[in-house]
Amino acid sequence: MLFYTPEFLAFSIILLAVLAVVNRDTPRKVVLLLASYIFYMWWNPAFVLLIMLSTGIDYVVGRLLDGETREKRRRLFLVVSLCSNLGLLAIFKYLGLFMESARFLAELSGQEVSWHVIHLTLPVGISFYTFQTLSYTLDVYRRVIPTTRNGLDFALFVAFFPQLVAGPIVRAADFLPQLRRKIKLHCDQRTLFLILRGLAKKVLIADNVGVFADAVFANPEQWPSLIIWVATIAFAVQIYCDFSGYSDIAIGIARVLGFELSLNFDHPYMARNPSDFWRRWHISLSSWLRDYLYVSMGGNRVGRFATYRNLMLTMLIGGLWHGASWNFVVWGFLHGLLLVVHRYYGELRRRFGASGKRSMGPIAMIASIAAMQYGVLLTWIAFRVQDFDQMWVAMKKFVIFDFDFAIAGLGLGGMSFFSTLLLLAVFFMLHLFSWRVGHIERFLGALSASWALGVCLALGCTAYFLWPLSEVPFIYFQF
Amino acid sequence: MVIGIILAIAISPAVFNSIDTDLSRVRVLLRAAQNPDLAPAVVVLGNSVVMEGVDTRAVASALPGKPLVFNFSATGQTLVESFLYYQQLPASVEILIQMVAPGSLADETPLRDQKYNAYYMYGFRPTPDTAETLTSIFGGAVESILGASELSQRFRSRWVVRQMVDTSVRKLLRADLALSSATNDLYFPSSHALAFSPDKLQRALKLWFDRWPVRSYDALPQHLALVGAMSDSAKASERAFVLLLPPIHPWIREQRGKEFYREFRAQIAELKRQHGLRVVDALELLDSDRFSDHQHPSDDGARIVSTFIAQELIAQGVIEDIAD
Repeated sequence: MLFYTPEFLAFSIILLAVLAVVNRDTPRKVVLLLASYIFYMWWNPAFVLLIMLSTGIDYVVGRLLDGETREKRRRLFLVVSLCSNLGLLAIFKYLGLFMESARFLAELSGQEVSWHVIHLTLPVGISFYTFQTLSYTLDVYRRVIPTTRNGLDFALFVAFFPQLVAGPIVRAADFLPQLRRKIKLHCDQRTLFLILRGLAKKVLIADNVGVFADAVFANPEQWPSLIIWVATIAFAVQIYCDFSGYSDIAIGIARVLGFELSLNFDHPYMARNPSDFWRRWHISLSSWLRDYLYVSMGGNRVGRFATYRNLMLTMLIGGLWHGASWNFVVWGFLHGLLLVVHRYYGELRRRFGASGKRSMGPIAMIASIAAMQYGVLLTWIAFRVQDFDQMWVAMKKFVIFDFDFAIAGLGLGGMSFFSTLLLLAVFFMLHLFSWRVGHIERFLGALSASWALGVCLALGCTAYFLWPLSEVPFIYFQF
Repeated sequence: MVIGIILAIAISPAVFNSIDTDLSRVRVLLRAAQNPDLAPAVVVLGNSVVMEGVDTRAVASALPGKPLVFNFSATGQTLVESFLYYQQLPASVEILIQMVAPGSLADETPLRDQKYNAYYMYGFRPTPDTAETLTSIFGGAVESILGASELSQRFRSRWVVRQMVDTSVRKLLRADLALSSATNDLYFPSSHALAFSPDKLQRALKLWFDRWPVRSYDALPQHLALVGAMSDSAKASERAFVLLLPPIHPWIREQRGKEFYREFRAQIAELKRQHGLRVVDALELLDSDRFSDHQHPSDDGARIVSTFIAQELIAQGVIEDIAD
């Protein structure tokens, strides 16, 4: 059930109507939990059992950890949770990739392979809710949060539908306390504009610029550098608007239901260096990886080379988290490389006496943003193109600009080249505006009723004319 | 917002008809076909190869009595799209010249949703005969496109705004092309593009073969059936039906090989035998220097093709048949 479909609209209306009638907290939680399961089952009813299994295991492990003081037993319970959660992920998400790779290696070494690769249907959102339940168990194990005894609260924490299938990845420490308060439905102009902003990002920008990126990356060999550049920027905008659009809608719907979810994006294309980028891009995942993986491996407290290793491993695993394909590992590797190089550069600067923090002049700031985004764009090619030969071709054309502008004369009419450029320009103006001045819904939320009506009317007209002709699922649903 | 959407749906037909897109020529052709003041005797249909490659004034001037000859071709016009015009043509039309390229019979998508949406929004409605012929040949896919409701067509027509941006910017940037002529001219809707440099031509050919790799020729039975139905429809309206095999760039012919074109011609010969239609074979008519790019004849090439068509109409007795 996609957020912008009539089914979801009907689902939301019914849910809000029921919640308006049901006043007490526990019945409201039951309604929310049932609604979350129905939302998930809309896609594939059988896989709701996996969520229930994951919920059950971590709830029981959490209870067993509660009051258990023997470290060995605590570690054993943690291992049970890790094995079962990561085991589910390995079976449903990575089995096909591992078998394919094993088969490839076996064939490469001249061995005859008799077994077939098994490709299981990927349960939507499994990477998100698995990390969410794992964070709970790890926090309980580390005694960061207390065990929750309320099974209903825990089940709702795992399955809460606005963020169930594509995040933000919610921490138990942030969400469970909200369940202990009275649930108040909440709807103001600003929240509505937040939801609208998410919808607009997804439907008006991501789905439209994606058409051009898809056409070019279907066969990057035939295009010159100029087109590869535009397609790469189009994909960068598509994936940002698609994913952050989903997050905006999820945060908005959660707010309507009385819950606050954490921010997932903060102007990533204004990042000045790799660390800054990961503080702005998919914040809930990057902070998860930092807290539970990077820090667990020793973080930056273990010497220079071990720090580099930790950074690289964290990013490689982060890449693999995205999808069962080696191109995501390459993407993670490139980001790991950027982080290592940036860290090394910082060390060099410190060694030669430069101060750690100093304010940047505008030219230096623009230069650092441009340099960083050049790297980010290059990594997006690895993310977008699965085939390694084609990825290499596209990267080469991106890095070594061929100054071939003859393509303009060959006609790109069917690919909507110019309207894609226009949409990209609109996006970057809005991105820049909200970075320097503030999120647009803050201003829209403060509009008088008549102005708000006018904006909504114009948005309605624009939405109608730019609404894609076919339904495009959110990119992160596949992860 | 809902009011905004309703407003947009309400104004969409007016918006559609008032702005220029790549499919504006469809509007020009449908209006010309319905104009009682225009009474062409000969009509040529096909895609951009006919737009750039047939000057119907030159055809007319080489024919006895200099009849009115119209070029009803449009960019990317498929066989099915050409067939949609048949029901619209005025009774004055006595000869129908239909372009059929190798690709028209082999891998052409019969009718695209978005294309037909333009026809619909410009006022085209299929007659029961047209709908039945196309549905019986192509089945459900075309039936669902032709049968879409008014509301659904209006809703689909929203692509036009985005397309307008592309069309307008191209108009600004490509001042070297006669885009207005390509949209509005009923005789020689050529954009009069400058010839490609050898480098650019190589690039275009590479793109072409990336999209349509070399393989053996294989015509689709539905497309063959459609040509038969087109011929039958022309006969029923007492029109002579002529197939025009368009000129192909020698480099493409060389890449595809002789066997490819032998097979294509064999299919055309079989159609000729079954339906008694006439064929003007211009496949090998032009040298490479008579093309402006890898596909389209230059103005010089168009003159040669136009004269050739007229000569063939006379030689094959098509004009005499009409005179009789």
